[in-house]
Order: sequence, then C-alpha cells, then structure tokens
Amino acid sequence: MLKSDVAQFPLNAIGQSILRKEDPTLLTGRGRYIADIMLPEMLHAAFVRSPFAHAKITHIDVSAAAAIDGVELVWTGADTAKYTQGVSAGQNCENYVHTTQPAIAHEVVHFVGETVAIVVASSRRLAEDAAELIDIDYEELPVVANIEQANEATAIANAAIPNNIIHHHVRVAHDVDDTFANAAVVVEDVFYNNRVSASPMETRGCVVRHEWTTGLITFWSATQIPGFLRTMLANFLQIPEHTIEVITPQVGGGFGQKAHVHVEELIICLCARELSVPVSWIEDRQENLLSATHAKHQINTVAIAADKDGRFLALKNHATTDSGAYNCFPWSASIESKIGIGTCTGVYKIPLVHGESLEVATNKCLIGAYRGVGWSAGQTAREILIDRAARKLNLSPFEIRRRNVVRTEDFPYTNATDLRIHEGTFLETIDSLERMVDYESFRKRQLDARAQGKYLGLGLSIFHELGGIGTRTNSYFGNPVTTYDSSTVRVDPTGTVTVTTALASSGQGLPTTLAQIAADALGVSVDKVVIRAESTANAYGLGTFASRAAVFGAGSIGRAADVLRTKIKQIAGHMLEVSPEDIVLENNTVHVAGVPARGMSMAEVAGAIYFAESTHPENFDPTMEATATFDPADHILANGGHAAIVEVDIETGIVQIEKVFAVEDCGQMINPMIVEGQMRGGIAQAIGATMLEELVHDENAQLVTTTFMDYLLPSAVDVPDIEIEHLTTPSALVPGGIKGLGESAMISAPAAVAGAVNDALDCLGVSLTRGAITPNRIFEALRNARQ
Amino acid sequence: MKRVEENEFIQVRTTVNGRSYTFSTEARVNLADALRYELGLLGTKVGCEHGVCGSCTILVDGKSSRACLMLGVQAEGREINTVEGLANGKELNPLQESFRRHHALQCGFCTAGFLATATELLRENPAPTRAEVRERISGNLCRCTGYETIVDAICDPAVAAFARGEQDA
Amino acid sequence: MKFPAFAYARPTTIDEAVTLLASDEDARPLAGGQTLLPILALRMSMPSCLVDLNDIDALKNITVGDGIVTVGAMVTHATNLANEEHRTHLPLLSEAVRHVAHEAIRSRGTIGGSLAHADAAAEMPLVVLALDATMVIANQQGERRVAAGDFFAGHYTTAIEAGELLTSIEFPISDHRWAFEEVARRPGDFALVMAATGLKAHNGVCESARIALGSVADRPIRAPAAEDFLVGKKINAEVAAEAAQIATQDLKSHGDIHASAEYRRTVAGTMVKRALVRAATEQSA
Repeated sequence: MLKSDVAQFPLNAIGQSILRKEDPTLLTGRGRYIADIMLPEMLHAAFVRSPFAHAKITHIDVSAAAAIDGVELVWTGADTAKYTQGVSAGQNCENYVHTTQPAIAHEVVHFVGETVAIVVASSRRLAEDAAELIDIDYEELPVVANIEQANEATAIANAAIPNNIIHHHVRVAHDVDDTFANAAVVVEDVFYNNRVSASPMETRGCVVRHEWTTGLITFWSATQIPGFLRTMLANFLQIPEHTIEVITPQVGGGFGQKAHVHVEELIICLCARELSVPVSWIEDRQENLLSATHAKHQINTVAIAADKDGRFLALKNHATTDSGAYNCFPWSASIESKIGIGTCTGVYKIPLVHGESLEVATNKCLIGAYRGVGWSAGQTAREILIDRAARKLNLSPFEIRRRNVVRTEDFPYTNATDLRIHEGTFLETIDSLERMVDYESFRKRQLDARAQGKYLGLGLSIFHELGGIGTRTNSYFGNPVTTYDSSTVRVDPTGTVTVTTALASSGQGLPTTLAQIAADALGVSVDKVVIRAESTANAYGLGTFASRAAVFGAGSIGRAADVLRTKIKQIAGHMLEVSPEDIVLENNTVHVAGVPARGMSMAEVAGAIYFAESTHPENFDPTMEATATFDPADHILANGGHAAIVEVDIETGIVQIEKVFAVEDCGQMINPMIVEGQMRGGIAQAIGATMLEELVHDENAQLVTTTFMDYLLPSAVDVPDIEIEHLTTPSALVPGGIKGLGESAMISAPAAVAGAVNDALDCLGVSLTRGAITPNRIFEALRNARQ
Repeated sequence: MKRVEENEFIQVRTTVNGRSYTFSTEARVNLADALRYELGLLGTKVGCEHGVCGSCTILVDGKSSRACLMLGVQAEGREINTVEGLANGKELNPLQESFRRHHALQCGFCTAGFLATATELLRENPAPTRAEVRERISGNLCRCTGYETIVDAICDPAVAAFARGEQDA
Repeated sequence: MKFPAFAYARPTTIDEAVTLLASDEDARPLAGGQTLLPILALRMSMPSCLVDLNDIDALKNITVGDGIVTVGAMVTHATNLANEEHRTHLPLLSEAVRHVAHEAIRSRGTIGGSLAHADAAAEMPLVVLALDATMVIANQQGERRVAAGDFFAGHYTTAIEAGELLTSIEFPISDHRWAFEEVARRPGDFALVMAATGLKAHNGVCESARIALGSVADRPIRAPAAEDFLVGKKINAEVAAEAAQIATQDLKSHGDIHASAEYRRTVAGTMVKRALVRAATEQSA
C-alpha cells in the first residue's frame, strides 16, 4: 500500500451540481467566523505598526499606555524576544538566504506596517486609544523602495540579506544567442506586474485561550492551514505540539493570504499565555492592506524567437520579484519569480530556453502566496508577446498558438524546464475558444468599430496548472519539502459516515465536495456524510492551498474508505453467504451485485460490525475507522484557456470588459456548479489585478493605498457575464480522475484581459506592459504614441 | 438632548427584525458593533469599517445603510432589519433559496450585505434587468463569486414572484 | 479602526445645534456620517464632540417658491434622487446625484454634509457652483448667505466658520438645459474629472452658457471665458470642442495616484465637450 495509491469506486454523487450543505448557515447569518467568537473574560488586541519603511527604534516608552484603566498588557519587541525569535523562513536549497521576522520588531523595523508594539485591553477601541499613547522614537535608515534600488544595493533593506539578494537561480541555460540573432521574428519586452493584495472580504484574525491549569492551548484562527499552523506554533514558540488545538471557524475567503504563519499569530499566543485569559485579534482592513502578505510584484524581461511560420524557437525569461523585507512562511519569496520560471514555457514546445529568477529584498511588506502565485506574471508577459508575434506574421492569435502547443501525439513531452507533460487538451482549448469567441466575426466587428472611432480588442491566454501540489511537484519547483495530508473515515454504528480532515474551507465548498467523494467511496448518499475539518483534533494535514484540496481529499478519503469497504464486503459476504467480491455498496445498502433485494442497509451492516460479534467472519477486525495519507505519484496537470473582449474609450482611457470566455479541463469535476464558481471568482480577481488593483508605494516605500478608497476591488459592474465550457481529461493519479483548478483563472485570465487592451490599442502604436492598466496609463501611452 | 460626555453610556431603544431591544453603549460604538456585540446579532459582518465593502449593509427604516457608518446610538427609535430576520422560522426565504440554488455565495462573508441590498431593490422593482441589478449591487464587494451568480439569483423568476407577493402584501 | 472617544449630542432644533457648536470649537456636526465617520475610523480627525443633526426636522425640508428651490442641509442624496420636482427645476442635481457613491451611502449621506466637507472630487460642490446656488449658514447671531462662488476656499475648506452650521441651499430654478459628465474608475467612485454644462438657446443659438469643472482643482471652478465664447453660437461638435479647449487650456491641475495633472486637464476638456453636445442635443425643438 502506497500513499499514492488511487482508490477505485463508482461515481455517483461526483459529477453532480449538488447544492452546498453549508449554505443555509451562511445565508441566515448563523455562520461563526473569527470575529464572532466571544469567550468569557476575553480581551482584545491592537497593534502599533511602523510608520517608517526602514528605521531604528531608538526609544519606546509604553508607560502611559499601560497605565490606562482596562489595559492589561503592553508589549514591545523586547518582550516577545524572550520567548521567540519569530518566524524563520526560506527555501531549503542552495544559495537561498533565510530570514527571521521577529514576532514584534525589535530594534529595527523593515517595512511600513511591521508590528512594533501590542496593546491588549478590555475592548479594541480602548486598545487603539492606548496604542496612540505609546511613545516611540525612530531614526530613519536608508530605504530600498523598489527593484532598481535593490539591485543598486546602495541601501540594504534587511541586514540579514546581503546585497538585497534573497535568491538567484538559473533554472535552465541553453545557448539561445545564435537563435535569437538569426530568427525571422523576435518579440521582446519588459513587463511590470503590479503589486496586489488577495484582499479577502474577511481580514485575518485569531483568538487564543491558554488554560494554565492544563497547559492546553485552544487557538482559533481564520486560516487555510490549521494542521501546519499547529506544528509551526510549536516550532516557533517552543511549545509542545500536543498541547495545541487549532480550530478553524468559518473563514471568509483566503486565496492564499491565509495560508501563511503570521507573526501576529505567535504574538497573540504569547499574550494569551501571559494573561491566562483569551485574547482576540481581529485585523482591520488598513492593517490587512499594510501588513498581510502582498503578491504578484514581478518584473519579467521576456523574449521569444520564432521562425517565419510562427514556430517558437527559443525563449528568454528573466523574472525578478520585489520580495519585501522578509521571506513569508512557509512559501518564502520564491513563491513568485522562481515558481514562475518553473513554468516559463507554459503549454508550448520551445526547445531552447534561458530561464532565470531573482528575488530581491525591499523595505516593503512580505510577498506571499495569492491564487496563481508566481505563474500569473510570467503568463501575462508571454501571452502578450505571442500576440505580438502573431501580428507581425499576420497569423491569428489562435493559429500561432495552435502551431506551438504540445499535442496529444507528443505525450509524454518533457519540456525545456524538465517538466514531463503527460496530458492536456491545449489544442482543443484553442479550438473551443476560437469558436466561442466567433473569431472571424470579432475581427470584422473590430474593424467596423475602428471606423467609428471605437477600439475593441481581443486577448487570449492558454495555460496549464500544476495543481494538487504534493511532494513531487514541490521538488520540481526546487522545494525539497514532503507533503503530508490525511483523512480519517469512519462508518458510524448507524451507518452514517464521519470524515475528518485538515482541509479547511474558506469558501470553496469542501463540506459538500468532500462529502460527495466520501459518499461515492462508500456507496452512501451525500446527506449521510459529514466532513469535520474544524479542528486539529482531526486527521493531520498541511491544508487547503495550491489547488489541492479536491485532489488530497479524494486521494486520502479514497484510500481510507478502501480499507473500510474491504471489511464491509468481507462481513456482508459472510452474512449473505457469497464471496466478498460479489458484494457492492450503493444507495446506502450493501447487497449482492445485481441482486439488490439480497442485501442489508448500511446501517444494519454497521450495527452488526460494531455490536454483533456473532455475525463476524473468522479473524475479522471490526475497526470501522481508517486513516490514510495521500501524495500523488506525479504532477496533476489541469489546463484551460481564457479569451476577453474589451472596448477602450481612447479619450478617457476607461476600459469596459464586454465578455470573458473560459475553458477548463480539470478532469472529472466533483461539482460543476462549484467548479464554475471558482472560475468566475478567479476571473473577477484577474480583472481586478489587471485593471484596478495596485498597491502603490511612494519613494520612501510608504504604502499610499491603505484603504478601499484607493485600493480598488472589482465590483459587479466591472465583471461581465462569462461563457464557460468544459473539457475532461480525467487524471489517472487521483480517485475519480479529479484534478484541482482553484487557481486557474488567476494564472491565465489576467493575460487575456491585458492582451485584449493591447490588441485594441496596437493599431495606435500603443503597447501596455505596466500594470495596473489604469485610465491614466492608457492616456499617457496614447499621448506618447502620438508624439 | 443634552451633551453626553465621552465614555458615558447612552441607553438606546430600537426594533430589530420586528423585536424590541434595549441596550446601553458609548456614542462611539458603531451600529455594526452594537448589533453584533450588544444584541448578539452576529450575522452583520464588518469588512472594512469605512463604508466601501458593503458587508455590513442592513436596512434602517427600510433603506439600505452601512452599519459601520452609523453610531449604535443612532438606532434609537429606528426599525432595523438584518440578515437574521429574513428566514421564516427554519425556512429560507425565496431570495435566500435562490442564492443557494444559483451558488451566489462561497465564503458567505459578504452575503448578508448583498441580501439587504437585494431586498431593498426588489421592493422597489420586483423584476429588475441584469444591468439594473449589477448597478444596484455595485456597492457590495464580493471576492469569491465574480458576481454573475448573484445576478442570476436576484433575477430568478421565483424571486420576482416573491417580491411581487411582498409588494401586494 | 475604531472611532476615538467623543462627546455626543443630538439636538432637535437648529438653535440648539448652533449653541452646542459655538460652545466647543472642537465640536463637529454629524450629518450623514458617510464622510466624517470614515475619517474618524482612520483617526485622521479627533473632534471633541459630535453634534448629531439627524433629529433636526427643520433641516430636512425641500420647498419651492419665488423661483427658488430651497433644499435643507440634511436632505439625503437618496431623497434628492427620488424627488420628482427636482427633475423639472434642478435637472442637473437629479442627474449628478446618481453618481454619488451607492444607494446605502445615499440613504444617509446629505447634501449639506457633502458641501461642508468640500471634497473637490465630489459631485455636490460642482452642482451648487454650476447652478449659482446660495448657502444659508446659521450662527448665534442669526443667519448669513454665501454664494457658491465664495463658499469653497480650497481643499476641504469652506466659508463656514467655527460655531456655524450650514442649514440650507437655495437654488435658483434653472432655465438652462443641463448635462453632467464624469470619469470614475468604478461607478460611484470619486470622479477623476467631471463637468457640468448648462445651455439656454433660442432658435438653436446659445443665449447663455454655464460650464463648471470638478476634480481638476482644489475646488469646483467655472470657465467664464468658455461660457462667453459660446454666446451667440450654434452648438455643434466643433464649437463644443473649441469651448472645451478654452475651458481647460490654462488649467493647472494636480496629479495623484489615480490621474496625472495632464490627464485631468485633457480629459476635463473631453467631459466639457461631451456635456455640451448632450445639453445641446437634448434641447432640440
């Protein structure tokens, strides 16, 4: 038995758009999120955060704050340093500079928003009042405000990072110079991907209760990774792991931002232990924009060489990440450029590649994981350049891609970055999108519109996604980290099914989709299954991120259920006097194959297993609970594509997104309704990241966009109706053929939207390579083109 | 009314979801926090505390309003409706059912705000066009759904029938 | 982002409100709260006392008489939007108020609050300037009137002094045809630029024009040279473009993270042009 074993069972609930079990709770306001947790004696925390990007703390006096009636604790970095060094992070590979972010900044602050003090008081408002009375003197230090300054290294952002270089990695270095020199077509540019925030509607937060009489810690956190958080709290705080229970309440969105271990979580835990009463920290929105991980901030210098038929000959991609002042945990700064270079050739056959990544330190908030991670920026750059090559060669964007994608007859295809592509419907995706878009009509409409002074554009992006990330895929990206995910499946005495797992949900419907899996694995109906993921008292696992919950859920539930299914067949065969192979589990019954009347209900069988030894065959082990891990044997490859049609008002620079088209091949869909929800939500985020959202820093690395008045999320008027089609390439590596897809839209749709604006304005000599594509940037580009 | 000093408590009498409540609070506590922590009505969520995200949207005297941009003491004498008042006992109302049917929620954090906005819209216009709905809900931010299924849910014929029925009632 | 502590009063008459404000120079009136409360949440202002105006019925009236529409300072944007008579008497107000934020903000936010806050990117200051409205301000001595042109003194600065309260806005009933244009990143956002144009014409020839620009300076501004230029002309696309050019050529606007000065100047011209064409078209026959 291997952790990569793929359980086989008939699909029944899987594939159905079953309405979500969790919805009535959420629709009636009865969901309990982290801010809804109220415990007796609970106190409230507020942080003081650094107003400077880089400074020495020369003086800090908390006495006025501590003296206020109702304030129970005021701590600075000196206090937390007694108990923890903080969060240490970095990738375990050569030449990677690890960093340790102190829990509360001690002596030096490295970014605006870094914690410098904490107040715990009877209410949040009182804590904020007291926080204002803390007297802090700073001596400003030279600031590294952007990648250019980081490269110059005149100023050093973090003394722990020499020359501001966290990591430099050449992934592949073929000799491409001659090819570029002699190619019929070369397209190249520098692409500036804007810094954004995952910005879930619910901010971060945690509530910690440390019961000194038992030494047990109950830690509620709005987290995507409860199991891993527990282990790392033990690690960073030197607290025995078994004394910690992490409980995940309802979580209001995560998108990767809540899949980190945050210093605030360490601090609140220490405060709770110090005070022996529960302590609550509910992040406010300004804190979230300032200090919750940022994302996508890359510069990609990309060049593609092609022959006269548009066949790609070579690719150069140098990707640099503006990483902020510390590595985030656990992903490290490599989550952006390094990961991006790992898929720099996408779904195309490009024989010669020079792919290189650089993570540099700046005096800004940490870069971390956000849906699509480092893949988005590179995808956008590459797809825009492919469109340019198409225009130069008078090929349609669909045709040029057709000529270059890996095809079925090529599988398995090992590409230049050493990824073995064993499946994917790239060609079919292109064909589908071309049909959905009605390409010929669009080009005609675009020409007619231009004659009227209206500018329409079409963008296209074809992608694949390495989802369901386990040990194999970690290793591919240079991360020698073994993943561990398990589920426990129990058939209860009354024949219902209880599944426990560490796959916490933050909106993606796991209480329902995992129940669909367990239901099919044991032949019961979905309403007879409950998924318990709220507590680390349950099965251990790393958690929900990297488009993996469906894969790891199916895999681990499948393996565990297999154990139980074998025993159920064994005892049923004995009771029905047939061979176990002739027993099937379906519709809440256990019966002889083909003869439903000869059987028992699951409840009867379960009751017999638990309480009627006389019904058991010889040497029968009645244990009706099994735990199994899962870790896929190879990469899980989903794929798809996006197309977008936009209209640009060239007088105002306002862009209207007319329509978006999406094709997804995520193998067997568990719940098509939920799959489409992931696609639509991701496309909305892609529109935001491309057109509206930008975390702007000034020359002193002060974050200027600190509220929703300046950091603009897409609204219902900014996201159009989206046309969706599905392809199905079941995965042989996962029960049911299921693949992950959660990140797909954020990997690929930004490229389609940005490509569409570029397509609209190409006839005016404009190309846009700096995000966000704001009206102002369009205006400036048009003006420069006219000169 | 005479001036009440900082940190003094003010008694407030209000009606929420048809039920009378009395509570005391400082003037500076916003209505969202008052509803949540004084009255235990935790369904109203706080997403930004500056009136932009719309998660805290409730109905005050029938009109949509940001609970984070009102003071708890301003609930005095008002009739407030929050998400807790929508269901009929243990039955979701047709608007809530429609949200479920159309997968118009994922993490659920913004949902109460959307339900308030939709309820107000449907009272004025039981059968809005998709464009009208999009415009009306553009003040409520959702990070999960991409909005299309929310529009589908609000435009569902069962919801229009419900809204017309409410109008006639 | 919890509010700082403040004293609180909720008077029921204008006199009470003025007395409260006059007795404490750090007291602030609380109108709709849609602007003031976010400022408090960010602790960018720490008033000693909030004087809540929401129970003063005398501030909520809309009356029409003698060619004047008087709108109480506490009339909400939602009320102005729904008011049928405004569509006849003050169509510019009806059109512009649609662009103010969203329904939930409009249900509490007030015209008086918006004017007293005087954000140069807000619609109401532009509207009162375009319509030559008069602000009525109460103080302990009684009442005084300030014309819109004298009311706005700079970013977030008005003619209202300590201890005073804006009580109503007097709009002359307009005999012009109006159009309002704005560019915003998303519906309901503060404008990057905006323009309001009013035209009075006889037999297609312009007799009088009003052009006002917003979000291009530290206060809304009129464009008198462009207004004069239009008199005696037939408004068509070319004339509108030329008027727009005159209105904006000397504008020294400001840049911020949302738009550069050049963007504001140029696109303000586009807004004027589009508004003029629309105002001219809508007054056909």
